[in-house]
This record gives sequence, C-alpha cells and structure tokens, in this order.
Amino acid sequence: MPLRDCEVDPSRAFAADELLYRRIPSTEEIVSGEIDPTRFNSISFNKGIDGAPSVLRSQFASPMDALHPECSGGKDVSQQRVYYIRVDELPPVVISQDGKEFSVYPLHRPLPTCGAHSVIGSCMAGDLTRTYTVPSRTARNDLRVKLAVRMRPAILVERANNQRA
Amino acid sequence: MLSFAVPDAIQVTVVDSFEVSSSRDIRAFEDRFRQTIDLSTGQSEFLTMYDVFKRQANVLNRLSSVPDDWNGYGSPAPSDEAIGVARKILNTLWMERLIPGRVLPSAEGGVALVFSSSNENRAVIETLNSNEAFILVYDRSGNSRTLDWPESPKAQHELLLRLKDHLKGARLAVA
Repeated sequence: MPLRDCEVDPSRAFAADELLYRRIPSTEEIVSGEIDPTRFNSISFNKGIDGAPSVLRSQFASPMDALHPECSGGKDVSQQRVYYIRVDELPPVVISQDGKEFSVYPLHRPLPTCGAHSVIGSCMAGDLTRTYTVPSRTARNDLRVKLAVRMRPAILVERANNQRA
Repeated sequence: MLSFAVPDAIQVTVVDSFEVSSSRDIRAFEDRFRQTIDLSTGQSEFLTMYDVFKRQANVLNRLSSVPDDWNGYGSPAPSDEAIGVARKILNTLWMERLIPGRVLPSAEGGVALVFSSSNENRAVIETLNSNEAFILVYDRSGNSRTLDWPESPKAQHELLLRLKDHLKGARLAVA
C-alpha cells in the first residue's frame, strides 16, 4: 500500500543513489526492456510544475506502488511495467539549439494518496530560486531521450527488496 | 497443370546441355532470367511493406478513440488535427518506402511514429496537439537531434533520405 502524504517527509533531500520509479505500458517498448522517448511528457499541461513528468521516489515507495490505483488516479495500470532511473543519472543540464541551458532536478510533490509522488522539474540554469521553466522543444526532446535510454526495468529491484523482507 | 515457384535461395545456373549455344546467348538468357527473379522478389517485398503500411494506417485511425489520460499520467488524447498531420506524413513515408515500426499516442499529447533499427540508432516522428511536427533522431547513448518537419515536398524527401541514412547507422544525432 503506498504511503499517504501525511506519512512522508518532503523536506528529506534526494540521495544520489535514490531511485525514481515510473510505469510504462508494456506494449510500448521497442524491444525487450527498451523504451522510446515518446513515453515521457516533458511539458506542463497546467502551466505549473505539477504537470512535469511524474515519478515515485524510492525513499518512500517500492516499485509496485507505481502500479497501485492510489498512485494512478484510480486507473487499472496493473498490466504496466515499472522502470527506474537513479537520481544521479538525471541529466543535470539540457541545452536548447539556441544555447539556453536548463537545469533538471527531482522535486518531491506528495499527493494525498501517493506520498512518494515526485516530478522531474526544470528551471533556467543558475536560477537559485528554481522557478519552474518549460524548456524549449529541442531541450525537452533531449531530456526525453536521456530519460528513455537511461531507464531500466525495476523488476530486479522489486525481487531484491522481497528477498530482503 | 504445371507450376513454378521461385526457390528461397536463388542460385541461377544455366546449363547448355547440347553445347550448341554461344556463350553470349547463354549470358543474355541468364541476365533476363535474373531480372525476372528480381522483379518477382521485389513485388513480394512491396506487398509485405504495403501490408505493414495498411496496418499502421489502421492503428492511426484508431487513435481517435484514445481517451484523455490514457496513460494515467494526464496525457491528453491525440487531437483530430494531430492525427490528420500524422496521416499526411505516413502517406509521405509510404511514397519513400519508409514505414514506422509502431504508431502510438504520444505522452506529450499527439501522435508518435516510432522507428527502430538493427543498430544503435532510433527515431520518432511526432505530430503534437500543439501543432508541432518534427523528427527526433537519437541513439542508445543518449545523443539526439530535433529536425522540424518541413512544408515543401522536396525538403521532406531530403529529410527522409537523411532519416534513412540515420537508421542505417549514419551519425545524424549529435552529442
């Protein structure tokens, strides 16, 4: 059962080796284990950071939480697969064709029924206030490609966790 | 009724058992025979590609019934406009004999035509609800390049030649 928002501490910093989980429909892989960049939304649909790509942080979630209805808006996503990327594998900066640099970072944004919910945010490089900024198209595509090629199936992580339990 | 089937492994050998034909006649016959075989094989490839094209066109038509939030991450359904642009591009791809391996809704809202290859290079063409259309070429190391989909047929042809080269292994994506 996923932790609720009152059960997590959003002030806890992301560790470099922390994992970020995201579910991917299994029918959408190019070949076994490989996903394509069109599986990632990188724009905000509501002009705010909460529209950035969603992930679950491993300090407060297991891979299976990503498939739970409490973390999918009530949808049945049980047939999907869970992938992960380490925090230190996120590209720190993506650069647009016109030379603008955008920083990329994880941000913990708990939801009432999904306390581990986080987003992959972006801001202008060097902006200490981290004001959410939607990167240009080329930078967004670069981010999506890097996420797609660096994400790996989480099934092994889940098995290891079960063996430890 | 007599019938003839082209063997899988085509190895043409012409034997002049009576040894009355000139070697030039034999070569001419062999050339004509090879051309016939090549035409037959080419038609088979054409039909196979056409079947894939028809299948992908049907998948594209079905994307109009994809609901909002189809992935549980809030992605909007592909708009009619995005599907329409994707249909035009798919027809252009057919003219160039370049068929995507998969046709999918894009998580950004729109349509994704996805290409794979036997090497490290990959590509997608996206037509988004935001009226953007582009080719994203990339490789498995994370290098990428975004190329806007042009208006003119000549520029489209040249771009698709570059896409073909990329999928054959040419280094189009940049670090």
